[in-house]
Order: sequence, then C-alpha cells, then structure tokens
Amino acid sequence: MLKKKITNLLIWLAIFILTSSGLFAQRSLQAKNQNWYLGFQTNYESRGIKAEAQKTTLSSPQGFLTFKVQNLGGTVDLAFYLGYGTTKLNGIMFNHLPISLDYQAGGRPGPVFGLKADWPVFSFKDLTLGLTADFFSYFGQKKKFNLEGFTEAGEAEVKPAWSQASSGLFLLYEGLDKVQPFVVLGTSFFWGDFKATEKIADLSGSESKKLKGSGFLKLSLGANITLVDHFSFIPQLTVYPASKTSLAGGIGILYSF
Amino acid sequence: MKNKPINKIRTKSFLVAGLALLVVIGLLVGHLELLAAKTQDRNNPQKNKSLQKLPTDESLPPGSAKLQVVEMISGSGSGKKYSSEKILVKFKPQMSIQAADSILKAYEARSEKIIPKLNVHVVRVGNESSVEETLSALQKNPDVLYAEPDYKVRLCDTPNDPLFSKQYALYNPGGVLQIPGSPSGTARADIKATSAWDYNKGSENVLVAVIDTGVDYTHPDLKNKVISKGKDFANNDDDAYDDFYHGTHVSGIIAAETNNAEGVAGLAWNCKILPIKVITAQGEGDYDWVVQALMWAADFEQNGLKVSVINMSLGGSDPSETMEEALKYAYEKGLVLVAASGNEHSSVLYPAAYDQYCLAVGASDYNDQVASFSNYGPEVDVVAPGVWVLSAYPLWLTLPGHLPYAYATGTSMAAPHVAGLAALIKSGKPWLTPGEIMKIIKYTADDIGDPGRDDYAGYGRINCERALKPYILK
Repeated sequence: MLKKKITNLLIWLAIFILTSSGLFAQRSLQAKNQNWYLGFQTNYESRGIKAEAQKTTLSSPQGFLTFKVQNLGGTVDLAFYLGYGTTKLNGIMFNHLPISLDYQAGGRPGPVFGLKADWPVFSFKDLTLGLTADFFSYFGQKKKFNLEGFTEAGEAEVKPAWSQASSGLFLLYEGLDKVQPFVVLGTSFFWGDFKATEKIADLSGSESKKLKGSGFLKLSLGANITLVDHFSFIPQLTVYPASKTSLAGGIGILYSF
Repeated sequence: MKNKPINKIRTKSFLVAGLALLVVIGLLVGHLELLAAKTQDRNNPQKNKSLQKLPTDESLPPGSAKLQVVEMISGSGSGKKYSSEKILVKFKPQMSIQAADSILKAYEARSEKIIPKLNVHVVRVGNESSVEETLSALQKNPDVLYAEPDYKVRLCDTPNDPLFSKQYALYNPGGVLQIPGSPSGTARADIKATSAWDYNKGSENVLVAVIDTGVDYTHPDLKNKVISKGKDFANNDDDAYDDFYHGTHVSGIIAAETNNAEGVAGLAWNCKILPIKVITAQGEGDYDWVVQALMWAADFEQNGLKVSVINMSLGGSDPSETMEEALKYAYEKGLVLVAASGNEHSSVLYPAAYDQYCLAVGASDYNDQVASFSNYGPEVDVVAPGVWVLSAYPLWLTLPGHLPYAYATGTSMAAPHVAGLAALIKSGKPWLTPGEIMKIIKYTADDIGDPGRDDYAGYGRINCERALKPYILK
C-alpha cells in the first residue's frame, strides 16, 4: 500500500515538474512578488465510493495547518497541508473473513497530508487561467475491538487509508477589490483501502477492501476574500456531478507575511 | 424397491486382527428408538405406551387435530437488509406533492406511491444512482423530514414443512414439545437454524457425503437431494440403498428437502447428499469399508461437483492407523469431517477421536443438557441435539398409515446437525479450509454445561446463527 502511495505521489510530482517547466515559457503574467502564507483550513469531504461490490458514502471532516508560497520562482503557487481528520465508512462488510465483520463503528481518526499547486498560465485583463493539481492522503489509525460472545477470546482490528488526487483548470477573477472569485473544473481520483483483521484463538483472517471513488468530474466554486491586511478568507465548495452523495466544502484563513 | 442380501460378510485381508470386527454400533443400537413399531407391538397397549408413534395426525396434542401447512414466504436469504431499488421518504408537511416530485426528480428518483395517512413516499431511485447515494442526498435536503431504506421484512425463514414444529433441534419454542413423551423444553435451546437461514440456506454446489447405512433415495424428502446412488462398500456395488434406516435418518437431518410443504426441514436446505454404504442391514461394518469410503469420497467428482463435508454417525472403540491415514487424506483434500462421539457414556469412539482431522460431536437435549449417554473426553468438540430428533425414515420400513418419518436418539443424530452447519459455512465461504470451518463451529458454539470447554459438551452446543451472521463492529 505504501509502495503504491509513493508511486502515485511520484507520478503527480512528475506531472507537476513537466507541466510547470513547459508552461513557464507560455506564461504571460505580470511579475508578482513572492508571498508566504500560514493559516488554518477545515474541509468536509463526502464521497460516494465503491468498496468492491458495495456502494457507500465516505464522510471525512478534516482540519489542516496550511503553509503556502505564492509565485514561487515566478511560476507556481505551492501549498502544503498537514492535518488531522476522521473517516467514516459505516456499512462496509468484510465477508471474506472466517467470521464476517460488519463495520458500523463510525469515524476513524488519522493524519492527513496534502500538497496543492497552481500554475497561472494566461492572463487577460482581470482574468487568469491556470492549471491546478492537488494530492491528499489520509492514514487512519488502527482501532481494536473485542469480539464478544465466542467461546474463545477474540479481537478485530480495522485500519482505513485513502488518497485523492485532482487536477484541472482554474479561472480566477481579480477585478474586485477584496474578493477574487474562482472556479475550478477538473477530475478527481479517489482510491484507498480499508483493512480488517480478526483473531479468535487460533482462528484468524485478514481482508482488505479496495475503495474507489465514484464521480471523476468535479466542479469547485470559491473565492479569496481579503478580510483585513494580511488576512484572507477562502471558502470553497466542490460538487461531483456524477455522484449525488459526493460533496466537499472547506474554509481557510491565511495570514500573509 | 431394492432389498439387498443381508448377511454378506466380507473378510478383509489388510485389517489388523484387533480391528477386524466391527465398527459401530452402539451408535446404531444403543439409544436409538424408532417410532415405527412393528405391527405386533400395536396390539400390546403396555408396550405401545413406551413406543413412540410416527408423527401422524392422531399423535398430535388435543386442539391440533391436523398438521397445518402454514403458508410462509421465504426470505431472500441474500443478507441484503433493504431494497436496492426503493426508499421511503417523508417530506415536511408544507410541501406539496408537486414540490416533492420536483425534488425527487432532481435526484433522478420518482415517487411510486404515497402511503395514505402517513404521507410517506415510496420512491424508486434512478437507474444511475444507488439507494445509498440517493438516501444520503435526500437526508441532507432541508425539505425532507426523513428518508430511510425500504428494509426487508423476514419471517426468520420458517419453512413450511408440516413436521417442522416437531423439530425442536432447529427451533425450540420451549414449553411442552411435540416429541415423544411431550417433555418440557427450554425456549431457544436449539441450534438457531431459523435465524441462520437468513444468512445462508446452503448451496447446490456443496455436497455432503453420508458414510452410513446408505440412503433411501426414493424418499420424498430426499429424492431430489441425493445426487447419485453412491457407493456400497458393504455389498461391493454401486448402489448405496438404505436397507437399515440409519443413513436415511441422518441424511434427512443434514439436507432433507425444505420448504416443500412436505415432511421435515433439513439444516442445509440446498446442499446435496452423496450416499455411501459401509454398514450392513444388521448394523455392522468393518473399518476397511469406512477407510475405502473416506478415500472414495475424497476423490469423488461428478460434473465438477466434489464432496465438501463427510458425516460419519458411526464409530469403533479401537484406533487404527489406516483410518487415521484416510482421515488425513480427506482432510488435506479440503473435506470437513464430522463424526459422532458415541452413545456409551465412555470414551470417544474412532474416527471422532482423531481430533486433528475430525469434529467429535456429542449429543444434547431440548434443555441444553448433555445427553446422559453421550461419550466424553478431551476429543469432544461440540454437541448438538441428539435426543428425539425427527427425520426421514425409509419408505420400505414405514408401516401402512404412517408417515415416512421417525424420531431417533443418539450422537448419530447430533453429528449431522454439525455436518449441516459445516455445509452452510462452506456454501457461503467456499475458500475456507476444513480447519477453519472446524474452528468456526467450535468458537461460535453456545457454552453449555461447565463454563469453558469441557469434556462432555466440548465448546458447547452449536449455534448456526453466530457461525453465519456477520459480527457487527460498533
């Protein structure tokens, strides 16, 4: 699993490097100063997923410390996210274990890491068109359960993990004084696994459910709102038109220095 | 109907002298009492008092002059808790039907009907949406009072077999039981079959070999369940017809045709039976026949169907390396082996005593007490009902005016309940090894008798529901 995550991360980094170098020559933006930001962001992610034959909805509130560099190298805006979230995957059934397990235990907490890059490509008057990509990964903490009612003592353990990678085009409007609305149209890939193990005396088993997000296309609306000097407020709402249960929203506050 | 020569005793060269004779047998004779009395006994009122009648209408308690065929709708058994197409939605009172319809339309769903007075919409979800997705979306809609799955109702899969009410082993209602002597039973001192059937009723791809006296494959509750005439090692031919009665009774417990409005219910509704005869019409058999039967069953294949479970309601007092090797062979080929512990209230018989390969099964009763006759020892794994168990009885032995069913008692009747459970587990999870299935059966039992595993009840009385039902982590 870790190997797969690293591979995916490398792929996205390669896309990042290749596209940014290619786009650098095309960029026709006015020179901007390099700005640094530090802040906090909360997200709520509700994502329709398939766990092999099962369909369910993953819900995950998250909170992040955010560090952002704007106009790095005159080319790209980079943001790093380090946070904590929970993931609720009720209804997942582990039927391949000797004793089937029906997970109904609610959210599992765990660290979430993220990386986001924006490449402004083309500016016309107050509009800026660019590319955006982000990658988030969640590592749920293990949770142990005592299995009761058996003639021998037993316990089960679950551990969820998932990653999400998105890319697309953004359009930013900078014609207003304090508010810069933006829209993002792109694709989002979600994958992960939910692992359960059980052990009752010498009877044991392990099963990993592969998770796959439904609804690749995503549409985000948001705005950078300057509250006071150095402080900006960034609400954002994302919908996945192909999946009615997939919805994400977030609010961020950034301090520039 | 075929009647076989009775005293066809064969001498087997390779058996050691100490094992040469005879297997079995206390099992077959000891505590087993048949209800089908001989005709001459019917004229002896005193004797009739101790004999049990076949479960005809006349034996029913007052007030239930006839057996009733209760029309029951069988549940799906798929384990699906709710409809995959419909949900129930209630909108806030101020919402008009048109407004509700337009909200549903936005989710590609449509209202099929409104339940009068409750004003609850029965909503069919869109083809491109799942119930879960639509529910989740509607539950977030501020105009929706509530939206919930359209859950499946069930009747605990009570089969419509008319004699089911007399099968306390499968469902024990407690109180006065409709079995010989009309004893008082403890409610739910049973193997929890009815609730287990919600999760699995067995697969046609799971074949249970019954190494016994053969099977009456013409019996109305077995004729569609027996896949072939099997193998007769006692008479050295390919026709394992039952010229005793025992194997027919055992087979009925495992997999009598169920929900067919006839006779009794079997534990593994849809599983199939392969008869193998190793006991003569006199109730005798040799170890070598059992050994050959084990090897034959382990290698059996017909149209891709292989044996998954073997039931052996038989045993002998002496160990045998040959038998142990045969058990090992079958076990390593993936077969679950189940054997009766014996009825002498002494040490566990072989093959049941080969603990590594065999589940040794003792007998319990309608009050979850270990039967007084049940053999005991460290090899006992579990117990199952083995006192006055009703099952199929060969047609050729059935007296005129009687039904082809009989009560019998013994660990011979307990073992097939466990074999049936093994077949149900194998049906749902064919990838499990025999060792894993044996452990599931042991660790999901209801501990009866002394707390913890003991030498009389083993781990306890089997609990089919716990073995099959998903454990909820919460």
